[in-house]
Amino acid sequence: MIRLFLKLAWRNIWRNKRRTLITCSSIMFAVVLAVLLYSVKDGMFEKMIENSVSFFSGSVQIQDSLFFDDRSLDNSFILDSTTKDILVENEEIVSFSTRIESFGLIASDYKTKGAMVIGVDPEQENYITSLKERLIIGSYLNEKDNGVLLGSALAELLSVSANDTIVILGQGFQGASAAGKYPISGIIKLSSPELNRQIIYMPLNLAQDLYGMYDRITTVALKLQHINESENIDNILTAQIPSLNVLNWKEIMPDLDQLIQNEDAENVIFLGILYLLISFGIFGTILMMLHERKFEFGVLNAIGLRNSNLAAIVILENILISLIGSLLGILLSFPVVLYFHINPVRITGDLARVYEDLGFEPVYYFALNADIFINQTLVVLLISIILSFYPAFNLFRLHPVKSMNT
Amino acid sequence: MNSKTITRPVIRTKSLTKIYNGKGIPVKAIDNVDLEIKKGEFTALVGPSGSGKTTLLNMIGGLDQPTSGQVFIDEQDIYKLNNNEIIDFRLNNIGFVFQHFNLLPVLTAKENVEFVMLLQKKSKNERNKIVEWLFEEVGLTEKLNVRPNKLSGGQQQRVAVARAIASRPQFVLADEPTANLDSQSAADLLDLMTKLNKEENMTFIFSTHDQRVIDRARRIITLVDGKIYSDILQNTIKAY
Ligand SMILES: Nc1ncnc2c1ncn2[C@@H]1O[C@H](COP(=O)(O)OP(=O)(O)O)[C@@H](O)[C@H]1O
Ligand SMILES: [Mg+2]
Repeated sequence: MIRLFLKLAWRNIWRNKRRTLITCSSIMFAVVLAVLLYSVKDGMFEKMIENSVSFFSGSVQIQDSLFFDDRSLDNSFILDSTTKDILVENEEIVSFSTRIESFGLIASDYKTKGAMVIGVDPEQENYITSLKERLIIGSYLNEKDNGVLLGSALAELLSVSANDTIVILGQGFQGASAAGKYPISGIIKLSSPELNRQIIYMPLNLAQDLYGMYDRITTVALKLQHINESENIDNILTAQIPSLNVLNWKEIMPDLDQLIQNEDAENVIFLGILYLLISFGIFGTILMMLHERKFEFGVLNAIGLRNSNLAAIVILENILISLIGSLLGILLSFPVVLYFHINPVRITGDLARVYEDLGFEPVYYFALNADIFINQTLVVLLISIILSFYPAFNLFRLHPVKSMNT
Repeated sequence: MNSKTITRPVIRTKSLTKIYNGKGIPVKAIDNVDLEIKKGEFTALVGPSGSGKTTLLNMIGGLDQPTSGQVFIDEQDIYKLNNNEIIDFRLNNIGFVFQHFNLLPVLTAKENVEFVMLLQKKSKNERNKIVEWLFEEVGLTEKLNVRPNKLSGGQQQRVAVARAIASRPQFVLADEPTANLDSQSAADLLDLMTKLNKEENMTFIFSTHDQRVIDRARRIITLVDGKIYSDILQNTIKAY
């Protein structure tokens, strides 16, 4: 019988071709818009997370339990072999890098700036954040000399380049003052505009020398196979290493997480309004359809079709229309998303500066996530099912004689 | 009362009454009607417009709840059934032919006739056999796969009769089935119903205004103001 109802529903929706096409195209339009919007949003944020997480913080970090609130080098620790083994044995952890993260004043011959001074093991760090690939001028860190790397925007601010010398001033371990003069071995360009303005890398042993904290580190940055396993791994390691503080990237960068959620809410409001408008259109066609087919529904009920089945046919009709609409929407938006996924759009001019100030890379990245397409189809289906309640309710109460007396 | 099984009533109404409360003034559309229809009858329901023909047919057909009184079909008090039961009862026991727009425009003639049998969950084999036989009977074998809008009014009504019969009901109710037909089509439709009545012993009850149609009936029940005014058997038709 379901085949009979499907056949009826399918043919019914083509009774008024023009109306069905208008409804389908309005749904299609909404789906295309929603897919593009979500694709750019997800793409931008994925990129932003990638820039900050994969290219800098790591998905999960291990710190001394006081370091997060008080980033003093006094809140540092020595990575023992038990903890190391736990990290090595976890399959999800691809690799990890030990660091000293601190702040300092950087002075060139011309200017002084505050900056993040990061001591890293050059090879380990390259393995988890591909730091070497970021190099645009000069050469990479080398444990054997005392050259440092500067973010390109920071170098510009200080009016220095490779082979120039800078001075780092800061506070060392247990109140000692730290100062050192270092040649710039290279300039790096990080995708995150914010980091690019304030970062200095130096070999870990050099940083330990500078700050007087032999063997001590502030941070272990972990690279995971899947970034969305962050919270899971956080929980596992928290249980395994109770003496240290394990943080996932959302905890490390709460601002970024907040930004993503705010943006989500904005999209929901915008699309909510869009879908509401389209719902009115669909509802109008449902009302017209109910009115036009009143007599026919009466006949069907009279000759033996149950009210519930009448309702089922009409619900099927609505579902079919929204499926066609969202399918067309997907067919239309998929190639567009695919194209821009492969060829991201670079923004130039003033707008680019606005994006950079907001902490975004000025590039429109399009995410190619099946989720986006599936979710929009589900949203449209849900809307059409909700809108079907009205005719379904009507048909459940339909009286054959009253229905035919029109 | 004759208690022989062949003549037992298929329809029996008891003090059947329908009162409409249209615009404040109650209208007794059907007033205390006691009526019996036996298997194989060919009955015309006549009377002036507004005399209650449609109301009576609807109540007999399980389409409209009486204000008081009962309708028994095969001794089943049909208004004791719940909504789904009465719909299924209509599906399996009663064939309907309305004045117009009987057929689903999106289905072909064949599919329209098959529709009720699909609801009855009859097998494909059985459906095909009945379809073949019925289209032969109504003389539309070549219109099997044509949609209703490609059929004349008379052809549509013949398909409607085929659909009414397809479920193998106890009887067929037809409310002014010829009202929208020219006289030739009306005569053809009556020929068809007469033939099915004779050959298949199918019980028909139809309302009509048309004297030529009335002449073809065996039993003529005349309604006036919701009451049975006269109930006669016609000898000329008796010859059949
Ligand atoms: N839904 C209704 N509401 C109010 N009055 C009605 C309704 N249906 C029929 N009537 C009244 O009941 C009476 C019988 O109508 P009906 O059965 O349609 O007569 P007929 O079919 O013989 O023309 C008429 O007076 C008509 O106006
Ligand atoms: Mg009438």
